[in-house]
Amino acid sequence: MATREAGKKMIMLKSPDGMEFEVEEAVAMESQTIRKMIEDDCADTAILIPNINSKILSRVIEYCNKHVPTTGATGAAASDTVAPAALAEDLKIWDAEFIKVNRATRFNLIQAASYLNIKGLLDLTSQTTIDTISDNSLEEIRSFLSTKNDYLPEEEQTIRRENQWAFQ
Amino acid sequence: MSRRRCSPATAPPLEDEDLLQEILLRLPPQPSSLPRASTVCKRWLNILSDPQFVQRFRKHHGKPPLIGFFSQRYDVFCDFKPVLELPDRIHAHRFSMPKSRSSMEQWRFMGCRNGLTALINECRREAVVWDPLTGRQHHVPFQPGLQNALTGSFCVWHASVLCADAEHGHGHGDCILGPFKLVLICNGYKQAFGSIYDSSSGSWGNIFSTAIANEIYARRGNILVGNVLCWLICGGDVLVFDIKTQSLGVIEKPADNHVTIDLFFQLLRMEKGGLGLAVLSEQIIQLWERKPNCDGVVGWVLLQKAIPLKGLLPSRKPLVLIVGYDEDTNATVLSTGIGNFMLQLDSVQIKHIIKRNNMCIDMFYPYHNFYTAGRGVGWKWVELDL
Repeated sequence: MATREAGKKMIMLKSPDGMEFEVEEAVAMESQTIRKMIEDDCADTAILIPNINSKILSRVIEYCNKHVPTTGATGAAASDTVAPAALAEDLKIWDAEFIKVNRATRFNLIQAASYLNIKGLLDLTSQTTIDTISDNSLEEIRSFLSTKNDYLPEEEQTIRRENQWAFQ
Repeated sequence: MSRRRCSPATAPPLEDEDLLQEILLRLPPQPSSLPRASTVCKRWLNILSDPQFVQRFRKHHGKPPLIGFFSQRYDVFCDFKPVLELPDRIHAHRFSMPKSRSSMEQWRFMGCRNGLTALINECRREAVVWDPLTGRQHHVPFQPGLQNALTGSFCVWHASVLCADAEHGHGHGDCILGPFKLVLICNGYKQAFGSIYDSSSGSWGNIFSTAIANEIYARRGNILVGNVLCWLICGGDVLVFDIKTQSLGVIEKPADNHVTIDLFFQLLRMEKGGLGLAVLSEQIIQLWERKPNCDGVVGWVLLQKAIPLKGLLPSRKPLVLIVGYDEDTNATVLSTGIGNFMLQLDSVQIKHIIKRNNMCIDMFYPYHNFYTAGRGVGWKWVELDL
């Protein structure tokens, strides 16, 4: 249900495990999926977010709260008074702390960011995953990502020979 | 972004094709990155070698990394000098260069842009657009009208290639598949003729001509500034071919520039996208830029900023030559007695890219591209005579 609090339009988001989160519309609209629902007028009751449990949804909302462009009392963008570079640096530090989560949570956040279409969160979660594995051996990568090596032995030999230079 | 929107994935993210692609898109843009990842499993190889994924990968990363430089002396074609460290170091043997039919036949290297290179073969009267990573070649016979324009008199040919894919967000990389444009300049006595080839129609456009005081300086590549291709003319004038308005003309050199040795000139694509000129004199690089004056008339302006090389380069072997230029990063390649340096002109950052103990006068043509997978099992060079 959309309500108004202190002049700000609020939106209710529901997780499948029954939790409800009341968030500012601007925060919810960090998600392009929700933005489209609101703009298409499909969102005047609470929005059910399927398959994203309350623990992950609350983290997503936390991310959107931090990243929504803030406005002051006069409606002027807060970045008018704070240097954009300082603001970006602050966000970067905050993101680095935010993404210090275990592997399962990170994967859940990737799924949520993809479904809700939140580009910044998808960038952050996917990039962190790639950065984690980029210096690992093939075996470590397969193990970390629970990926099965489905090459036949002779195929693996060929591809490794072809790409040997990339492992020097 | 993921193309799936109906519901969040219920499978683990790496089982979900779209999410796996989202993650793999963030692999680093360095050459070894995709080949390494494609050895993880067949599924990854299939994704990483899919042309659609490769296109998204290029778009995601934007500017491709500088892999190295093609280099050419007056008479020797052609070497490749890698600049990245292992394992991203790509050596010349990974490129299948156009072959000569005889020792008399000579390829001249014209430069690189958008992952493509342009070459001239005057014996065969043709230009070749070559994609070094795939080996694909597109042979274009010289515009017959240009050949006839200067019948009986000596002329020198120059060429320049650029991608013509105007689709929003197009990531350069496979531009050999077109559309691309090739500009051919025929430089005769006190005259230059030019024409533009469009790969999508496979035809040449009109012939344009202009009077020039001297010949085009052969030891400099052309640069693209906005829609205008620019060649340095001996003495400091600039031959300009506007691709959009289809016109050929000359910009005169700065009147107050007193340096006369072409070896010390380099045309520049300035930070704000205008035409610039670097002039090296007594170990100082002076910078000129085309700017409007108070009456709105555009002319050369000497910038306050000058770059003293003293302190940046070793003082025991002070001779410095400009031997190349990277328009994508506004960086010059300098040759010294201890090797080559790359000097970024905006930040004045300098990097020792090639170390050696003697002066080398080879011209350096920077080559940027993504080195994408898809050359694993069963991959082979392709040579297309299109």
